[in-house]
Amino acid sequence: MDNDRAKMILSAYRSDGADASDPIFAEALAQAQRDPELARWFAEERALGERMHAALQSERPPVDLKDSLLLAAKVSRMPAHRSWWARPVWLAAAAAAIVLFAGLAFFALKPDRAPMTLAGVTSEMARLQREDRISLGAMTSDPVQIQRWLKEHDGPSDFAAPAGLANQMRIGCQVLDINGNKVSLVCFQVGGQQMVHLLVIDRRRLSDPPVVGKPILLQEGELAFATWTEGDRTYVIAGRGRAESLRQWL
Amino acid sequence: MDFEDIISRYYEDLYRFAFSLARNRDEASDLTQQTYAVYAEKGRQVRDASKVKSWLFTTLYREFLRLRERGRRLVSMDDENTEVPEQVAASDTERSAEHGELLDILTSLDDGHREILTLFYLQQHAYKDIAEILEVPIGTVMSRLSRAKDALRKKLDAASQQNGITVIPIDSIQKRPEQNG
Repeated sequence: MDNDRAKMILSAYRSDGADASDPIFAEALAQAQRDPELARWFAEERALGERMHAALQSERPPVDLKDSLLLAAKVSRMPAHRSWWARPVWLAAAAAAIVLFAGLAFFALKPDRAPMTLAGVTSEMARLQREDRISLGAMTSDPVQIQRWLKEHDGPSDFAAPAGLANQMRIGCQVLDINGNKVSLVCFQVGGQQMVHLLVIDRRRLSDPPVVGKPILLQEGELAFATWTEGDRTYVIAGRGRAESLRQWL
Repeated sequence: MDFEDIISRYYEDLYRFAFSLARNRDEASDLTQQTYAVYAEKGRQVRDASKVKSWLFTTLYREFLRLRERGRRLVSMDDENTEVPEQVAASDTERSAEHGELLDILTSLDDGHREILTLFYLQQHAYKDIAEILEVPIGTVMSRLSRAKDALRKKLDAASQQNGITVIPIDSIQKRPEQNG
C-alpha cells in the first residue's frame, strides 16, 4: 500500500479512535507506525479532527429547542405496536375496500358536513387532550411553513394569531376533522413546558359562533377555552388551568 | 429507548448537522423538529434500535434536500433577513475565537464537502454510516472525505495567512518537551 492510498483510508479514521477495531484501517495504521512521514501527516490529521470536533460542539442548539421537542413528543406520540391486522398489507386492503365502498356510497348518498357547535368543538378538543390524541402533522416554528402546511391540508390558513400569541414560539400544526369540517390547530409553547393550542374554524361551519368582538371564556374541568370571532374565522384557544389565565393570549 | 431518550441523546448533534447544512440557526431548529416529527410518524419502521441514530440523520438530510428541491432555498447566514436569536448570540460569546473561525470556514465550504466533513467531525458516525446517510458507496465516502479535507486545509491556510497567524507544525509541538528537557 502506498502512502497516498493509506492517507485516503486514514482520512476516514475518527480522531477519537472509535474506528480502532475496524479491520479496514489495520494495514494503513500499521504503515503509519512504520513510516515517519505518514505518521506525521496522521498526527496532524487527528489534531485537526479534534479541533473541528470541538468547534462543532461549540455550536449549541437554542436553549428552548429541547423543551419544544419534548413538548411535541407529548402531543405526537409514537404509534402503538400494531397487531397483524393493522399491518400495512391489511391496512392497504382495508383502505381499498373502504375507498370502493365510499365511491359507491358517494353516488347513493349525497355526503354532507354536519355543522359544528362551539360546545362540540371544545368537547372534541377536550377529548383529544384528555386521551393524548393530538398528533402534529408538521413540527416547525416557522409561521410561513405552518400556513403553507395548513393550506396544503385544506385547513383554514389565512388567519393571524392573536396579539398575545403572535410572538410565542410555535411548535407545529395539524388539521383536525370535526364532523367532516376541517379545523386548523397550531400548537404554541408559552414558557417552559406549558402549551396552548389555537384552533381556527371557518365561521360559517359553526351554528353558534361567538359574537364578533366579544370573546368568551369557558371552563371544562382542568381545561380552559377562550373563543371569539373575527371576520370569517372563529378562533378557540385551548389550554390547561383557569380560563381567566387565557386572557393574556388574546 | 423511548421517544424522550431519543430526543435527549441525539438532538444536539442533529441540530449541528442541520446548522451545517442550512447555515441558518432557525432553519436548523426547524429541520431538527421536522426530523423528530417524521420519526414520530414512521419511527416504528426502525426495528433495530442501533439504527435509530443513522435513521434520524438520514431523515434530516433527506428533509433538507426535499426543502431545497422545493425551491425553498435555505438562506445563508449572511443574508440580511437572518437575525441571530439572543440565546445563540449568548452562546457565541462563550465560544472561543478559534472555534468560531473554524466553524465559519467549515460552513463556507461547498455543500458536498461541508456535509461529509460535518458528519465525520461530529464523530458520531463511522464511514459506513456516513455512506448510508448520504446514500453513496463506501469508497466514495473515503475519497470525498479526503478531497473535502484538502479543501478545508486550503481554506485554513488561507485564513491563517490572512490573519497573520503562523501555523505551527505538529511535530515541532511534539518535540518541545525534549528540547526543554
